[in-house]
Amino acid sequence: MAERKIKVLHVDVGGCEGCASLVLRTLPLLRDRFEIHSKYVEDEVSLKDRYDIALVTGSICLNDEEEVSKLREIRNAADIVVALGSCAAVGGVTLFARGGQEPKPEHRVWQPISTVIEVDYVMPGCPPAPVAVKTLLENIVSGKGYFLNLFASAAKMRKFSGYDLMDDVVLTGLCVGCGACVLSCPTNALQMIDRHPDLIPEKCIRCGTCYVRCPRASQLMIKRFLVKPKVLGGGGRA
Amino acid sequence: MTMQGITIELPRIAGEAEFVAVSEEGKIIKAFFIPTAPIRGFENLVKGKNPLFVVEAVKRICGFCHSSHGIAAAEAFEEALGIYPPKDGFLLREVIGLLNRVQSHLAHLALIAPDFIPRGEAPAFVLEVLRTLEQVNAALTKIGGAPTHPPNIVIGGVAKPPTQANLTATINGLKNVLAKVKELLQIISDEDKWGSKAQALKEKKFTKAMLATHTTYGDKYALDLSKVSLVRYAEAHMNDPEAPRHLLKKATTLIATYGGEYVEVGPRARMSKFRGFNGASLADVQLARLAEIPEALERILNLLSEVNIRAPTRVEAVIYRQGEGVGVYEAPRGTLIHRVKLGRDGRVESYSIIVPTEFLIPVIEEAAVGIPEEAADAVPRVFDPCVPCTTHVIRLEVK
Repeated sequence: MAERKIKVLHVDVGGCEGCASLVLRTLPLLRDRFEIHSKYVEDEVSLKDRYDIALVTGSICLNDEEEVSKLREIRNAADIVVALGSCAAVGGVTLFARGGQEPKPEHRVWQPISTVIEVDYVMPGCPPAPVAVKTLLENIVSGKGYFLNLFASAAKMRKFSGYDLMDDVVLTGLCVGCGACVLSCPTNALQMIDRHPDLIPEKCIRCGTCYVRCPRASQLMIKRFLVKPKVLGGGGRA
Repeated sequence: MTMQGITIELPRIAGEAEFVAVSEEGKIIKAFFIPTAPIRGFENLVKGKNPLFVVEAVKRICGFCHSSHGIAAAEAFEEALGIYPPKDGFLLREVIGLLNRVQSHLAHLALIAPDFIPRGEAPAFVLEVLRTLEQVNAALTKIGGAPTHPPNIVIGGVAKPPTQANLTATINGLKNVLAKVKELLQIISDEDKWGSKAQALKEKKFTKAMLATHTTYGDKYALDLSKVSLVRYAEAHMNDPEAPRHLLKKATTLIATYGGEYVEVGPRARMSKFRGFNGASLADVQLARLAEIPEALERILNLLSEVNIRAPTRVEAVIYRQGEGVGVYEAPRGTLIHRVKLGRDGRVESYSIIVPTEFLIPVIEEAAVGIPEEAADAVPRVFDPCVPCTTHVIRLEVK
């Protein structure tokens, strides 16, 4: 019998839509094994249906009741929830929001979606690369792979950024000078000086990409927040 | 007289909004397009911040027209600080902006294709568009530093020139993209095969006063800023008895006018003003957008042929100080305006942004009048897929 395709839901709860366009870009890579349900590609997406995996993009505005309840509906509709992109994962640039802007000055607090619902995996990146999304989804289906431990423990940590990379790895002397953080930074906020990364604080948008990319920081995170990653049970269910 | 509401899905448009249409005998007689996406408030978010942060932050206003915001912000800061990028900085910046325009138009093409292409052929067409888009993303990565929110747009020009290898690869890649785009445009321009929604757009004649400042970049001197004004959506519709009161409260947008009038911005405005385009139907809004893709690609190839990889691309020493500046850029969807006021410490004292969508909302509402209900969702889509909007058209029938 042909293997059933994995049902993936994509919903954006409040971001720049850059991660939504990432989902579009990832479509050609996923279409053989996954069936993507997103309002970007089809005419009707229902949160009443059941899905294997939900990809949530955008951070959540805690002052917007409708968005908060939509997020809860998504949690109920899917076995596994992935916070995709920095805003959903750690809040990203929206953490700096302070409200007071017309016509809705009350939209004041923006947080990662794990503030409201339980999240199984968070993948930061502004936006992440399509191939990384594909690998994580395949890892979730097959039940094995490095991405599972990494992004499941990142879901428990919730707060990490360039500042935390400096505090936890560089200033403590744990840095090996590999330069992975510099290459991963989407705003060029990290530079190498004497084989040590240095943060240009005013360019850091708190996306957290460097932290998961750093071999030392990611190991620290996995050790501190090790959880049993939730998987779909080894492949498509018939 | 009673009102009866029926909900119809409105997919393939980014963001969240309610599209409420009042119809009579199957045709829209009044429409309200009410964005309800929560507000991140970038104008307030950047107050007190260093300009370096602001340029990176505002690129994240939009994931489809990131570079446009980056360029408009950089231009505003440059005026405030009294600096002017070197020639190659301008060339590369225009290339980055145009690659973003092509990206945005192709992403929109993937979203709107099912309205134009026969149902059976649409998925394969969309897949081809997405593959072509990926080649444009690769080009933006090589020139701009990333396919989304390119970090090479900086105050004072462009962070660094491409390597010779990247420049050659980009030129070759974009020549392929241009050939592929021409093939795709031929398929979608076959009007005989258009679906019913596209036909409805074609039959509806609609033009407005138009605002555009430049074909490929942006020109702050082609615009009188004192004529631009903003009003809350709810205030603009306060005296309209048919406006859905419960939704007005939820509206999270402002409406922009130019000289007190609603004006169309975007591809059709640019093509009409600078290229003699005279398409008067709603489908022509899409045709103008499509015509911009090969034109932008040809312009990019011309600009890249002029780039000298050894020439400076940015002003190296930037001193942050007090000042005011304006940046105007022709984003994929129309005229985008950033204004900044820097305090004595060189940090942002106030910032304001006017996006093309704020001009387009009242235009979309007017354009929908006379359209058959079944095609109503195509009207916002043909103007702007990035309008934050959600999934409902609520049909209110007057009985």
